[in-house]
Amino acid sequence: MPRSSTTPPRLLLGVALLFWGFMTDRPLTGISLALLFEAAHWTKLRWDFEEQAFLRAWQLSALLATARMVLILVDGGRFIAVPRLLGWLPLLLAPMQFAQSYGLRDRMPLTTFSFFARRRMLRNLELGLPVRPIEINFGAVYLPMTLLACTLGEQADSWMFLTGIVVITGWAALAAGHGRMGSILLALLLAAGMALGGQAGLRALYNHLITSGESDDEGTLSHYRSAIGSRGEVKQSTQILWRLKTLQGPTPPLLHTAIFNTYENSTWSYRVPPEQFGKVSDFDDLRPLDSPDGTSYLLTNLASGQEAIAPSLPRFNLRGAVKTNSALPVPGSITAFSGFEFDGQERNAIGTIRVFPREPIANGTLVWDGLSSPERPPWSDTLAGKNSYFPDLKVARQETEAVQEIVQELHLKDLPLQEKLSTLKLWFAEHFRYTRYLSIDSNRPGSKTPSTALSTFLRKTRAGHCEYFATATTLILREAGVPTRYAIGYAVMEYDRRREESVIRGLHGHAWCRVWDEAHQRWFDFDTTPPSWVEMERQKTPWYQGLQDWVQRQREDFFLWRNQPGNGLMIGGIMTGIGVIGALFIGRKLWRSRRQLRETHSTYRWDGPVIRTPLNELETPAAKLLGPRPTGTPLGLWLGRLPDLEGLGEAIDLHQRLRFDPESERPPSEPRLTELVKQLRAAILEKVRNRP
Amino acid sequence: MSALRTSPRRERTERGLHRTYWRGTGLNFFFARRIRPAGIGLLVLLIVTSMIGVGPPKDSAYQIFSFTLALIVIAVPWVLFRRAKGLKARRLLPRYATVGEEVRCTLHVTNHGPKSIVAAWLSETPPDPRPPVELFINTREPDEETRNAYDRYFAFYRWRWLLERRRLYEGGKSDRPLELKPGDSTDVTIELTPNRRGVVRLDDLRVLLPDPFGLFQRCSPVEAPPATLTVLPMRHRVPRIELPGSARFQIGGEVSSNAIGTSGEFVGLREYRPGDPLRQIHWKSWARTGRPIVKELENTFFPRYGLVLDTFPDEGDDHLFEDAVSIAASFAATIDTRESLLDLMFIKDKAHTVTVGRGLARTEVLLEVLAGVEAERIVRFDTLSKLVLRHREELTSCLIVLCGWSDERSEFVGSLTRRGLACSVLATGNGPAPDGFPGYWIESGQLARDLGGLPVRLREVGR
Repeated sequence: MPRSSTTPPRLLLGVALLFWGFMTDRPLTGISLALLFEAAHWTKLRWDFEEQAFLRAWQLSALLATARMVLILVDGGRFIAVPRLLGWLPLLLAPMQFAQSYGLRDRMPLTTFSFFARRRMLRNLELGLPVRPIEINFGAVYLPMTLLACTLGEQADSWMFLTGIVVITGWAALAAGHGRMGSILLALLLAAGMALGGQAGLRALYNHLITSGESDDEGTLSHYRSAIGSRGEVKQSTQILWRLKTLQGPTPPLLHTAIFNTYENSTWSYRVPPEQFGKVSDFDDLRPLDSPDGTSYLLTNLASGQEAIAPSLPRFNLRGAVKTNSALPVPGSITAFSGFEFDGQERNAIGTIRVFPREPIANGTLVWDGLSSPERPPWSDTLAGKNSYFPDLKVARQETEAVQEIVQELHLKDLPLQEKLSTLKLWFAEHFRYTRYLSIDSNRPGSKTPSTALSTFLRKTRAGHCEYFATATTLILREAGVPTRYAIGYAVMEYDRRREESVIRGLHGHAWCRVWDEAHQRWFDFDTTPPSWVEMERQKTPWYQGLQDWVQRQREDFFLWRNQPGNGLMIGGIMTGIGVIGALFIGRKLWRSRRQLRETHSTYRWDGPVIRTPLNELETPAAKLLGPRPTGTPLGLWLGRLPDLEGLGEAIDLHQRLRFDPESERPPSEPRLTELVKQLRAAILEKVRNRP
Repeated sequence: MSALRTSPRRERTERGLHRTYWRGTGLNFFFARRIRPAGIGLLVLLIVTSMIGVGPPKDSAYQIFSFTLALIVIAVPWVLFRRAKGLKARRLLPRYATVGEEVRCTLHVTNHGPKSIVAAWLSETPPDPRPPVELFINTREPDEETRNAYDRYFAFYRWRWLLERRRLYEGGKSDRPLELKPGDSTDVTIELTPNRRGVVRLDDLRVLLPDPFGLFQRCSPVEAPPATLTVLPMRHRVPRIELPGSARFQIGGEVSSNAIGTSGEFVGLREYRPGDPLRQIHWKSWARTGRPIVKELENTFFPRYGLVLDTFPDEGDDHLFEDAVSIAASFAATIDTRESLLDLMFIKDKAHTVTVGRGLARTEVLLEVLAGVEAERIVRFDTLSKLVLRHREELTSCLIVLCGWSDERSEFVGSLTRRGLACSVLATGNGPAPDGFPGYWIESGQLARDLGGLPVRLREVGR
């Protein structure tokens, strides 16, 4: 079969698929696809696929892609669904490539891929209007898609990735014949060099952005840029993030995800004092401990023992989607947790717990006591007053003036801890108001005395959202001599009576203060945000929230159910059965409609010069009888109009054979044709002479 | 076709839309000639890889994005530096082509430049198909009123439809790369498929010089004298029909062609007149007199048929007119003009009659006329009626090809038949034949089917 100019050359597609299989750790799939599509070059088995068949193949590909997408979403890969899907492209588009490789037509209309374009085409056909859809060879699409899918493979970060891409691109360019080998190689080398340079540049750019604290999700564990000083409305997702079912005891009102100790320029961060460098590690693994009933727990306080998992302690079940290297929301006085499927779980010195989940949906039990705290006490001044760095008591320089003013106004320094807290809470409740609409600028232009957003909040506007309250409380208490830390996480404020569980949404995100109780040697939560914020957040859910919640619950519950022993096997069996039945159905239909490709020479197209035979010499004398041969009229057909000439039929047959099938010249017929032409020429001239 | 009535406000909108589409399509043509399909694919790939690149950090994603960008960055200047100086061509075109049928044209190309030309392709560019603003405003796409309000307002489909209609041919690109050393010549074949009948003027030959990856290409004009190609209307197979009136001809015998006969008895000699066949030349007399003399045989009677074409399509029925021309061409190519004469009669600005047949012009002349015939904007069936009746005495019968069926057309056919002219009527239109239609209805878009199904003896109107 002649190859159209856009068809990938023999073996190239196979090599690309093997490359994909290697890069994505799917060698068997890659080899199978490569064999399937390369076999088309070596076999004569073909199907007469029409436009309808291409459409069906496209629908099948779209169906497979949708099914794969659903599976990815069920697996909790919401943020990586598209890249994951792209990684499977060669397999998902295999039906299309099969229709192309094994079809008799070497092109398919572009309208196959668009419902609207197809509708327009059908309408035009109905009206008898001209229809000229653009046609493509799908191989020209499949090859770059395969290379693109390689990008997302596990092995794609090795040196072989770029080498493979360059080799395959060069091969395709050479086969297309748009340039000489030298120029193509030169251009490819340049491109490869630029690719390496580009990679280094982009990596550097990424690192620069990360170190400058922009666009980093994982950064929330070590630093957190608050909305203090920003303008506009604080918007948060209404989506359910976690579901909490109380198993025993009360439900914790606050769950923190991260705790910070240093505030500067609206950003909270976690810093270890310089003198502690080398003594305190960033994150420590949690200590496992088995309970008497055989349940495995992970203790959040490395020094605790069986008392941390005592059966009398309050506990609750927590379920929700979790990303790798992210924080687990826990109560401030968490003692242990169990049942989660994590590859790793760590806790830093001030109580943030980060996890490396094995599955995208986490489900487990958390134990807490309400009386202890796993984080370490405030840093002590080991340098006997020479160390100016006390993170848990430090007030940012630019906030000192406003904070001192409040402390003096409320006489906080002289009060015991509990009175300090109650005075402060009352003061915030009476003089401040909660709002989601932020109107304080970090640096107000034209202001004579530079004022920070927090100072403006404390002195003038006295309205803000939880981050203002939590930050202000933390700094005021520090100024009053109480070590404090800043916590972000969620408030447990929505209870679903029907399901008997609490629901944590994005809009339940909250910030508060952790206060050190010197008497009991523990940290505890202290929240000064006016209680009105709870009511204000409740009004924010959209009309479709119920449906969205239902879908999410089903997705998570199904995922967990599927992961239970036995259920996964059953689902796999059902899916395999459906796949096998579908494959058998398609295979049966394909087998019944198969065709054999005809012999190569019968479809051979002659592109060389026109072959002239001795019969062409008869054109001049015959024109005297028949007139000039009309344009486009074959010589044999035209000469056939000559009346009663013996041997003319045989001569035309020999001419046709020499003209169109010179390979089968056994025995050679040219001498015989020359002889016949000689006789015919004489006969024609005789007729010319004898005509009236 | 009379101008459609459009409100001033709507006209202003359509003028604005036309300006936008005109510029947009111009830009599209410019880039389509310079960006190859692989280039478009690569630009799409660049967008996809950039989207992958902004995700989690991954070196391979950065590499493929940079590699894709690098291919583009290399290809664009590469193309800008390619040249094909001194390339000249001469077009060798066939005399005729037919709508919808591929025609092969040869280009004789010579490299007069100082450098070799490699990996270059030749492309014949059709004339700009963008419709002028008046045509855009005054034309409606078939069944445009059934489109939704959005499509009707923006009229983009109308623009696309007009573009398609006005594109003279498809193809025109050589399928083999050109490789020419300085001073060398070669023949390059290009294939093109005409979309419309008429005379196509080929005057924009370009040489395409792609980059090594085949992503972009330089598109430079090639010096070549213009040439024209006559595109005949599409013809369909029509049975070997017997037109009405032939029986009366056998009884008559007075009406004859204006040519000498060839099969009757010898009558005498006369001077040669243009159109006389060479075989009738009396060589001996020529030698004796020094002037060409022909043998005059007894006059032979030939039937003379009228092929009447309705050039007055209704508003928005231009496609029916094209169908009518195609039907007329099918009959013109089928009726045996070796033994008859055929008069094509139609109105375009004035009355036209073109006669072909024995001793006169060949059928190709008729097809050439049909290739160039245009619709008449003012309906003048009375003029057409007068034209046909002027030839009433000479015509054996008439074949009338109509663009649809209406009271005016019914009256026109009636005016001919009432004066005793044997007429067969064929009309083309959308959907099934209207009630009371007296002839053969050819459904638009189904010409091959309906013409192939005609009976051998066509029914005469009123009999």
